[in-house]
This record gives sequence, C-alpha cells and structure tokens, in this order.
Amino acid sequence: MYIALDRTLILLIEHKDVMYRLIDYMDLHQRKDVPTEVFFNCIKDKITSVKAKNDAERLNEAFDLGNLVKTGVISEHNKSRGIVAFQPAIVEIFRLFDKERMRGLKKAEFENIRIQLENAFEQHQPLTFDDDNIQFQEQKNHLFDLLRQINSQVQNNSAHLQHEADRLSKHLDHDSALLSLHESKQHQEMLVQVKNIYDREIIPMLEFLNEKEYSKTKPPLTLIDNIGKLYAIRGYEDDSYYIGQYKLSILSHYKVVEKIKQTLQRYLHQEREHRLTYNAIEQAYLNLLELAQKTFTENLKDKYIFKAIDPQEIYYQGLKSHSSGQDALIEWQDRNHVVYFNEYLIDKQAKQRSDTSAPITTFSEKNTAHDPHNAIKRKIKMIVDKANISPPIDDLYLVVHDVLMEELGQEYHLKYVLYGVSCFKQKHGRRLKLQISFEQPQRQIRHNSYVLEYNKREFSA
Amino acid sequence: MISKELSQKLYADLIHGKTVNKQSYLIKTNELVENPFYNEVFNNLDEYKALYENISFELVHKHPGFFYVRSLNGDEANETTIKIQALLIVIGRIVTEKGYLFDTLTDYRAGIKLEDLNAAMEEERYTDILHTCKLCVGKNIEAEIKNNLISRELMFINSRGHYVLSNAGQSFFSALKDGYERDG
Repeated sequence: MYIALDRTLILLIEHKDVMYRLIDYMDLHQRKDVPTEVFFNCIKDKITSVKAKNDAERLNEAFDLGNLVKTGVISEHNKSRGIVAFQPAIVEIFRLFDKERMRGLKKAEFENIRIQLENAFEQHQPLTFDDDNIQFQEQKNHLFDLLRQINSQVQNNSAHLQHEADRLSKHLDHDSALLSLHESKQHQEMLVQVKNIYDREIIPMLEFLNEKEYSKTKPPLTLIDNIGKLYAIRGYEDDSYYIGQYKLSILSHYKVVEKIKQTLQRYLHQEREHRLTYNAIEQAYLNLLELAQKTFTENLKDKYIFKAIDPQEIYYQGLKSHSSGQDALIEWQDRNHVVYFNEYLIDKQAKQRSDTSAPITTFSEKNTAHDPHNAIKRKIKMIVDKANISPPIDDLYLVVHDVLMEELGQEYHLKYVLYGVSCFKQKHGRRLKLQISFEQPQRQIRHNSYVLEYNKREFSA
Repeated sequence: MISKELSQKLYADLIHGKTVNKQSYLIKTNELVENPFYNEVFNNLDEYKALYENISFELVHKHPGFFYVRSLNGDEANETTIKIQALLIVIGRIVTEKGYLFDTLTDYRAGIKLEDLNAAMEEERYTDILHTCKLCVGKNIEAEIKNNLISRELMFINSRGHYVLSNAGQSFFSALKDGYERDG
C-alpha cells in the first residue's frame, strides 16, 4: 500500500527517534548512507516497540523500504552494495530539530562555498545586465539562492558551535571530574572534542568570515562585495544593496564565533597543559625504565641506577637524607648527644633483660634431626650410594632422576635430582671421567609440571 | 624579624630533609591553608638565608612555593633524591596510565587511592624501576611513600585517605613539564 509523502513525513517526524538513530549511525561512521541491515533493524525495533496494533501496522506500511523509495524519502537503494541513502534535505530537516545532531561546516565545505561564489562572480562578469536577458536572470536567481543558502548555513553553523561550546563548558567546568575515574576519562575525551571543534570548525569559519586572510585566493566576503559592486556599476543598485545586506548578515556571525573561540581557548590551554604533562611523565618513565633494564646484567655491581642518572636531572638536588639530618642535630650545640643516647639504650636494654625471663633451650631442640629437608637429603644420599650406577653413564641427570623417582615415589620432587647428582659426584667424581655437553636447546626433564633444564653430563671409567 | 619559636621548628624540619610548603593541608576541615612556617621564611628570606649560610647550608626556594636546605659543600649523596624522583614518576605514570586527570594528584579533595597504587605494583615494569632504586625491596609501596614522600612533606594524605601532592611534589612535575616543553 502506497502512503503519500506528506503522511510518511508526518509519521517520521512523529517518530523522530528512527531518523535520529540512523543519523547517529551515519555520523559515527562518517558516511552519507546506511547499510540496509541497519535500516531494517532500526525500523523493526521501532515497530515492535509500538504497542497499539493499528499504529504498528500504519508505521509498517509507511516505513516500508518500497514506500520510502517511492515517496523519495530514500533517494538511493543499492541492492548490490546493500545500502540506502536518504534525501539530504530530509536528513537536514531532522538535524535542525536537534542542535546536537547538527553538523558543523568543515574546511572543505567552506572552500566549496568560496568556489561557488568565485564561479558566480566569473559567470556575471561577461553578462549583459538586462532584465530581458534570460542568462542574466538565471545567474541572478542562482546568486540569490546561493547567498540565502550561505547565510542559512553560516547561521546554523554558529548556532551549532554555540551549542557545542555550552555543552562542553557545562561538563568541563564541573569539579567532579577529579573525583572518579569514569568522569576523569569523560573530561579528557571532552578536551579532545574541544580541540577538534576548535581546529576543524572554529578556525575555518573565522578564516571564512575574515575579509583579509585568504592569501592565495580572494576571501569569500570580498567576492560577495565584488559581485555587489558589479551590480551597482551596471545600474542594479537595489540588487547591489540586497547583496550587501547578505554580506553583513553573514559577517554578523563573526563576533559570535570569536566569542566561542575565546571560551574554548581556556580549555584548549588546559588540554595542552595536560598533553604536555602526560608526555613529560611518559618520557621520564621510559627513561627510568630504560635505565632499569640496563642493570639487568650479570654484573652485580650495576644493580642500581643511581650512578647512571645525570646529577643535572636531579630536581631536589642536595635534599638532606634523614640520617644526615639526625647527625647534624645530634652534634648541635657542641654536645655529642649520641653518647647520651647510647647510654640510655644500654640502660634500657639491661632493664628489659632483667625484667623478662630468658627462654630455656635445650640441645635436642637445636638439633636439626627433625628438619624434613635434612631427612630427605640423607635418604637421597643413601639411595644414590646404594644404586647400581656404573660407567659408562650417558646422562647422569636422567639416570639419577629415574633412580630417585622409583625409590621415593610420591615423595619425589624434581629438585632432588640436583642433590642426587651432587652426592654421586662427591663419591665417584675423582675416579670417573666427566664430560659436559653443551647443546642448544638444553636437555629437559619434566616432572609434575616442573621442568629442569641442564647440560648433559657423561661419565666414563 | 625572625620568630624564635618558628625558626627552631623550621630548623628541625629542614635539617631532617623536610620541605616547607606554601600551603599546608588540614585534615580535620579538609582544606588547604597558608603555612605560617613558609610565610615566616618568605618574609625574612634574607635573614634566613644568611642564618643557614653561616652553618654551611643553602636555603633553596623553588616555584610554585616551597623551601628546603642543602649543604653548601655539596656532600649529600644523590641516592635519596633519586629515590624520591623515581617514586614520584612511577606514581605520576600510574595516575595518567589509569586514565585519571593529572589534576587528581594535585587537587587536595581528590588524590590517588592506595588500592590503585598497589594494583599497579603487581606489574613488573614498575617494580623493576623501583627495585633498581632500592625501593619496595622488603617494603611495600605504602611504606616507601610514607618514608620518602610523606615524611618530607612532598605528599600528604587527605581526609578520603588518598595521596595528594604538596606544593613541593607538584613543583617536580611542573619542572618536568617545562623541561619537556623546552626540549621540544
């Protein structure tokens, strides 16, 4: 069923959220169309959210893809690419409803306007200014359409910038940003937004409205001026006056944008300070990390980074350490208070000793016979001594590992191999010939998720 | 005119390696107030300078407002100051890396939580730096901050229990930033 354009538009306006969602998608992905899938999902969500059956049916018919194409709301439906594009004028209407969704003019768009004005000026120059001249009439109509369009674009743009500046100021002036991590992050994101708006929207707009700054090409407002003069010279003073009025109307936004610029400059300064501080901390941290990593060598003398730091880089140069502070205080007024203090400590300790009963220890308690490690060491030594390990031995570690694992069972731990090998070497080391093989990768023994890496030791008679 | 009472306390603090900040924090009222000791030195700067010079010390005044003393013969080892700097840089890095605004560390109402610092201490890159500065070896970060920063009034703990930089602590970061800006 076909629903007329006006009815469809009314329904779209009544249910603005559909278009807002699609516009948000386009803005987020910086594109002028939406994938068909996104479009269908959006419509489906809307229709399922409507409770009244009649309303849902009505929306289903109006928002049907075929109907939207037929009414011209959707200007392009490309099945092979799977995209739909809305009529730009309709998207702009919805942007007007919500200032947050208004798009600011960027440098490319300002340049496009300037080129259009330049073209209009060039088209007017060779023309015969006569009401009967159709070409002149066409150019004149086109010029006034263009001026109206520029005026409206600049007006919308300054309203958009004002709205953005107010929104950002409201959030950025709030102190709570320091109190939570979430708000800290939001604050930083907003500072980045300020910088983007400043660089990409405010500066290009001020350049556009400035009559003097276009160095290589003529400034847009000078072009409007020149067109106005052309009309005045050729006897069309009224039109020249109206052109001048358009210029003044466009120029009137300069002060507003300049004020917005000044508002945002404060945050821009804040953003720059933040960036510099972050970069400085990052650089200092990386320098320290590099110095720390340089100490990771086998040379035990270079364990600390103190010598590697340039004294010039020390900020609290010469700040007294606590101990030196104490020395200075103790020697103050020609009295060595250390003597008195030490006497006090001796006296105090003696008193403490006499006040407390000394713990009684016996020889048997000091005996480490119950030490589990000593017990296991003795056991390992005994096993290794008794084991029938005779040369030639291809891999001593593996042989000892097998012997100990068999004898100790559950009690066995991989680290016992080292002690076992040491016991074997102590007993047989002098009479046997040892050869160490350095292989890459080293040999490995795995046991209960532990790994021992070692160089193979061969023993021969 | 030098105040006898204030100058005695000042001497005890400065000689123990403490800094004297322009503002001091009152935990009971959660506010920053003018520090009378700083004002005392600032108002009688020439006299205090001469006084400390006579006992071989230099009274150092740094922006944005703190004093400390150092030996005129420069015999003080750099180990302590390097430890302080390393600790400050690591704390600063933890704050910025977590996504906090740096101002969190400088605003007396905000500050950084001990939990955030402890969590970061589980990462090797931070402990590597601290260990090579003889820090956090057998002691935790809380003890190191207390020994090296709070005892010297480079930091203080606010009413929320968070760590905040004093004027002397902030001054280090502002010098770090200026140096970075200067070197480009």
